[in-house]
Amino acid sequence: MADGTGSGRDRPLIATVIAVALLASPLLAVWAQPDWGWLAPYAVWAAILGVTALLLHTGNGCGDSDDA
Amino acid sequence: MTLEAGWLLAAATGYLSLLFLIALAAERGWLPDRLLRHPAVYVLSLGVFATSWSFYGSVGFAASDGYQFLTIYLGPTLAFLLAPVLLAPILRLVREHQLTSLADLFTFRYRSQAAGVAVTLFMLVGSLPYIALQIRAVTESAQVLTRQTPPHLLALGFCGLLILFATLFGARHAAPGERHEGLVAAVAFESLVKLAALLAVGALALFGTFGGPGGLNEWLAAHPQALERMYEPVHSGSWTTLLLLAFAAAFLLPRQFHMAFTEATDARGLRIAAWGFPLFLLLLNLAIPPILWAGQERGLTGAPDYFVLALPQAEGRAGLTIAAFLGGVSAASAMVIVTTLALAAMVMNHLLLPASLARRTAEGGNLYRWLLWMRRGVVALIILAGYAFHLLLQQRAGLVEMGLISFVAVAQFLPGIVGLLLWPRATRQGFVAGLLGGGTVWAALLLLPLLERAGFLALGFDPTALFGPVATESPWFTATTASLTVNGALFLLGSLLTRPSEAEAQAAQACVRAAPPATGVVAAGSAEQFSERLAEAVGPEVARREVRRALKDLDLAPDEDRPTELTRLRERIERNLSGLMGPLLARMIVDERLRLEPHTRQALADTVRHVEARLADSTIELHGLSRELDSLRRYHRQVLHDLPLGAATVALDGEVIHWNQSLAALTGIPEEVATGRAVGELPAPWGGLLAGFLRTDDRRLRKVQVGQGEATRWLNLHKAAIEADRDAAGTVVLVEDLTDLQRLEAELAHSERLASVGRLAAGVAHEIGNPVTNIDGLAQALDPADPDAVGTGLDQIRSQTRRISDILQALMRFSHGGDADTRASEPVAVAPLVEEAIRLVAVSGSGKQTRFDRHVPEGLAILGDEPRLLQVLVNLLGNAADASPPGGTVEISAEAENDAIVLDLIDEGAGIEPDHLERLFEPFFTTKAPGEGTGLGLAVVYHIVQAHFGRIDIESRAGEGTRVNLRLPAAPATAIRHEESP
Repeated sequence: MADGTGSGRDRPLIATVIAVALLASPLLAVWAQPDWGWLAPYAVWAAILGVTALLLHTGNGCGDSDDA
Repeated sequence: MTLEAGWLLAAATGYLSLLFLIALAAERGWLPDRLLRHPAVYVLSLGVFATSWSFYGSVGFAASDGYQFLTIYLGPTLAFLLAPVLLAPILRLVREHQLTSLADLFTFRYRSQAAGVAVTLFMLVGSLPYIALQIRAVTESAQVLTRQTPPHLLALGFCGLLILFATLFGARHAAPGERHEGLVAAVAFESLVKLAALLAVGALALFGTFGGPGGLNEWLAAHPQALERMYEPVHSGSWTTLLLLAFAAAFLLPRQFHMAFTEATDARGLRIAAWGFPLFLLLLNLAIPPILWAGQERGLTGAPDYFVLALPQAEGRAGLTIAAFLGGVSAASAMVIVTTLALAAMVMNHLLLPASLARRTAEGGNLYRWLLWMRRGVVALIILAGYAFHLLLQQRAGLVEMGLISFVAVAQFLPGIVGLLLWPRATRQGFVAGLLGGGTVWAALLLLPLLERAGFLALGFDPTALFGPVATESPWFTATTASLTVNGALFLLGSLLTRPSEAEAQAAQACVRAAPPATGVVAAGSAEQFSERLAEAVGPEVARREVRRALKDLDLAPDEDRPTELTRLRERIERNLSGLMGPLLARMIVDERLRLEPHTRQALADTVRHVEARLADSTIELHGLSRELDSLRRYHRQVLHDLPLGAATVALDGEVIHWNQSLAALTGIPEEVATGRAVGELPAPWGGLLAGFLRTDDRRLRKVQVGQGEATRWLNLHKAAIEADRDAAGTVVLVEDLTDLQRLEAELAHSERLASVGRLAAGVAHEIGNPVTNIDGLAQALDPADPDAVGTGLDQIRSQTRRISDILQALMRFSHGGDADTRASEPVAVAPLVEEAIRLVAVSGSGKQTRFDRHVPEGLAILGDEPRLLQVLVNLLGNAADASPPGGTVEISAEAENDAIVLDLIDEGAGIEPDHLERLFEPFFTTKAPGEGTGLGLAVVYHIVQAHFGRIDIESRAGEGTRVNLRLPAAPATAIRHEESP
């Protein structure tokens, strides 16, 4: 990014995170069913977090490339 | 089970005392710094997001809106997952420009005091319902536990304790931007308490009421409608609206902004928080459904908002009930304290200071103390205003309703944030218009109806009626959509219809990339002048302290006067003042008092030092090409720095940009003193020497003699133009220290000279022996009776002694060549020099039998060192005499040729073998028999000729003799004389 918030290789990673995060909530809202059990929303939430944490820490460390 | 109000008050007081202790331990350094700066503490401090609304209200929200209650936490999850692109740039701006609040951020971006005022007022009004909500949650929770209406004194006492804590630990520094370790530690601890309390109540619900997960599943199977009620609102409710509101609240609420950015330690914490904070929220909410269902199973009466308290109470768990109550107190107190501090910083910077700073400065006194007490006063007033709002709205609105009203309010800052991060074309007019428009819609649809329901005012009409039934069915969707649409439209239109000012454009650039360095020269010429000029605006005490602080931050000396460093100092002062009184006021003061003079010089030095300083201070990890380029930059810089040769780069305007360590060691001028200074202003003799060298057309200066204290240094100077683009052009100067080499050469020459003296000794003794014998004979022949004969005899004796004296003096001069430090270049007459060399060589064994035929015109002079030139001739003539057959002739001729003196020495010896010719100047190479020569003679000759910038050539053929051709620089007078001759 121009301000150093991520190198070129970070962008797909960040885009993936954004897409997952944006899509997950509507998915949960539209498709969530009682059959999934009461922990289903938390499972989806935890899955998103896990994927993001993995991407953030094994990718190019998007968070670090800013000089804050 | 009911609890006495006194017990609750004692528990709350005891708990807040514990918080005081933790904060005090952090402030006093009793807790290890590693712990306080651990990312986990930062993550937990962000838990201030979870207020009493989360702690108590989530169960109520889940009861009415099912899993939709999760949106309030999924919004922050989304915001923090986007931390690299959303939060990290804001953190960079906040830290780089010492911004302390959202109002500061917008004022910085839109360069408008009106923007700051609007944000502050709007935030203040928007936050009061939220603060009131916390006070109400604490009093209502006490009501639930004591089953009686709590006295107003409880709420007032709670507010009093919060005021005390906030002023003691949250307003410790005059500058709100300084980190409050105690506050952060206490808030992190509070997050832990509320998480532990909520999980404990959840565990009680799961295991106490249902007998474990299996029991819960059986209960849910038996009551399918319970789970359906949780899922159903997800499909029909305002999921996206709530998600958007919570997303905005996660970083725009005053307390979130304060904890996420103002109190942040570094970017690493934010990276951990990107998943750590959502994880905290997930754990916090895991217990909500079991608590709700356990409450329903137990048939708890009263609002589900307080099932968290009622459940352990119904189970007869007094300890857990108190813990849950304290969890609620934690949630409420942390929110009120941090929100109030953040609001106080905004009120100070954008309402009070602009109005009263000038008057306050004129009155004198300690401005820091005044700022500190004003902040404390504002903190108390805001908490009391929250209390008043609580009294006003008692029993009129649910926790969720009051919280969401504040959420919609802060969502009005979203268009401004988009402009800040992504749209440099956005203008202050657009921002203020959008905020006023959106704020008006928010007030009309949410705030005014709330006040009307509280009986505080009577509108006489229902603004929500404008939107039809949808406003009643989905009030949050209606209010959010309407306010953000109006806000966004006005923001867009206002920005497109106006043009950003120059200051706005600069700020917009600084928001999307690192701020470029200020260029130009500050009118004030020294740090002292900075203090004097700033004193007119902020008073002498503040001026002195701020200048001193900025000097310390930049590691500069108090007597700093380098233009580039003063520009950096100005920039630093502005940032520090920004932390004290807001960005706009700071800029205004600095622009007025420390004006930058328009300057035509290149900004190369500024830019290089700015970039270097930023990269050196940075703790970031670069990636990809950036990392490779940075590695390359560091490598080249290190090469230049470690070069065992003095190296400096100088900008076109003569300012030193780089000064490597060899040059620092050679000159005794440290890098930090030299860089940024005009080269001519460097301490003597270096300033004059380098400035003079840069002015000349010569690309190199050889054997420059520089006096440094009592020592003398010999240097070669080289320079080359840096022909980069115009802004990066300059000159690179290399300084080669020859002093050691010079000294070694001198020692070698001296040793060789002494060896020659040894070789000459026999001849000298013989040469002196003859006159001594003569003197003896003359003395014996003296007849005292014949005065004439005595006179003649004495004259002859004197003549013989003069002859001895001449020989001895020549020998003395030859053997004592001086040392490198005292050697000088001066005109040396060639004819006497040749005569003296012949006189010395002629006393040696071979010299006696050789005829020296000279053709040396008078008036020729060489520029050089006489003893060493004599050594050259003695060595060459000695070799010629040694090579010549007995009675042979050595021919010596000299002539001026352009600016040189050319000497030819031709002998009639056996000549030199071609194989030997190439090795003649090698040390210790000799064709003489062992013991007759050291092999150093011609090596020394070569070095001396080189040192005189001369040249020596030897031509020889076996059996045909040898010709030595010497070319040495002529002394100026000779050169002039030669040029004048036809």
